[in-house]
Amino acid sequence: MVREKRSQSGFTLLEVIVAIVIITALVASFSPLIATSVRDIRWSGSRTQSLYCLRGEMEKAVAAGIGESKAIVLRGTSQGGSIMEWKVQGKLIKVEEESQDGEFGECLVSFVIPKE
Amino acid sequence: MRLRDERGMMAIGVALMLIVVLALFGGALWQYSMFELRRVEKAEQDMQALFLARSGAEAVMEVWRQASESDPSTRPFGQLDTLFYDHASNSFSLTKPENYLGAINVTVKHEEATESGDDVITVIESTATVGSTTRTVRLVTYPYLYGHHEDLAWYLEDSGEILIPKAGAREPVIIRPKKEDGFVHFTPSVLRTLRQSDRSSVTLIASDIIFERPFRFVGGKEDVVKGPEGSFALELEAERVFFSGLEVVFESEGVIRDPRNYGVIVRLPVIAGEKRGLLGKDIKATVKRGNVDDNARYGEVYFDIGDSEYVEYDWFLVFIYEADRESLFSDDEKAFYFKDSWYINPEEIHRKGARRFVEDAISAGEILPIRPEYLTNRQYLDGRRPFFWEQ
Repeated sequence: MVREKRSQSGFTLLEVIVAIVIITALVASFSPLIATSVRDIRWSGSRTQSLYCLRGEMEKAVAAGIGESKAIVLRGTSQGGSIMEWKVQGKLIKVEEESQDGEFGECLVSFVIPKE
Repeated sequence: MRLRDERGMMAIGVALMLIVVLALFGGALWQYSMFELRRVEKAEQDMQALFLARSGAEAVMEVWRQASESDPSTRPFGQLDTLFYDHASNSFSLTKPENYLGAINVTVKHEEATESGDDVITVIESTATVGSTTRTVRLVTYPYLYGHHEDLAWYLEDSGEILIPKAGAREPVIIRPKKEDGFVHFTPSVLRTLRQSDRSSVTLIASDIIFERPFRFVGGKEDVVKGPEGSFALELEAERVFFSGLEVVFESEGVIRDPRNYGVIVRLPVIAGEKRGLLGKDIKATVKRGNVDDNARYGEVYFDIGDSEYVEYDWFLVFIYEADRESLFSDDEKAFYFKDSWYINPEEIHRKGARRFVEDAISAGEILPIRPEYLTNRQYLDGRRPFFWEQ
């Protein structure tokens, strides 16, 4: 039986090199986009989690009425029809994140009137 | 390498496919990450806006509460000026700072209570804006509680007949039978039921009791005839009692009948083991005359609307008739602080006369006329209705 002779034709070295260069360039150009996207998605996840923790802490602080004593001045019309200013004493509560990398500098702010 | 070479074309095809796949994958990932970033930013602003809106509502509620106690006409109403939270000074300000976290707009308004229709509730609506996110919260007062409400069952709404109550309340209760010209009263059958169970009183408990119709102990002389002998009292256990007309009844002893003595007792409620009311030393400056006991506690009772009278019935042979009717209070003194368990006792009035009875009570410090400028009005009660967060 005469075995059919395999084709000797293939990619030349140059073709292979050019292809590798093109693929490398492509991957190199897309990788920052992909890496940034992945990092952002991960950041969003941890930020969401951290936000809910913050909210929990804030709710606890609000319930306990723990915060810095501050006054709010309100201005408007009274039921008697005159323009008035009212001063309300309460607690200013700021709950900040405890992020190790210090990336999340945000905090939540609330003002509460402590329960008697 | 020639481009028309099939092998070269295949290499380019593979490279193009890779470009497309990478572009699609990268693009989708980038879009998703952008969406996530926006969502987180929105959630963050939304959460902050919620707390700022709550802050504004709470501050206004506190102003409302304080003003209700001092002067209800100074309570805030309508749209208040915008309040900003200033990052730099860590404080709230009425002027717009350069770097502010958010803005709060609060409106106080009245809305019709849907159930009763003839009652309004107070609404504090607070809207906070942080970035592009806005959150609104509402604090709403409970509608007034009426004595005929099924949970209380103090009286029948249609007839005004007092029942043996199911429960008391910790908030103000309004007594308003349906008929505008009607009144609240006991029926002989209720009095007899009480007599059978060895009770001599019915007690209504609330923080404030407001009669919007007159209270007459009985519906008429026929009820006195049918009513049981002895003393019966309507006990009102409240920090403030507002009458809109009152009749206490006494029927003199007949040949074959014992006297009927139907009066009213005002008591101070006890909440969590503590007697409510104001300390004598705190009300001294607001008392017109009389002996104030510094350490005693006092409530307030108002007879300023309608006539408050003592009515005496007597018999002539087999006929009962109205023998006497006296006003209890003078026109210039119809609002009093009362000491716990002050008893408007018709039998005592029968012996002393109405004016003397009142003067003796003032001298003994059982009641103390309130100076006109310190009278409590109904608006104050509106401020006492608790607010709750509406979902």
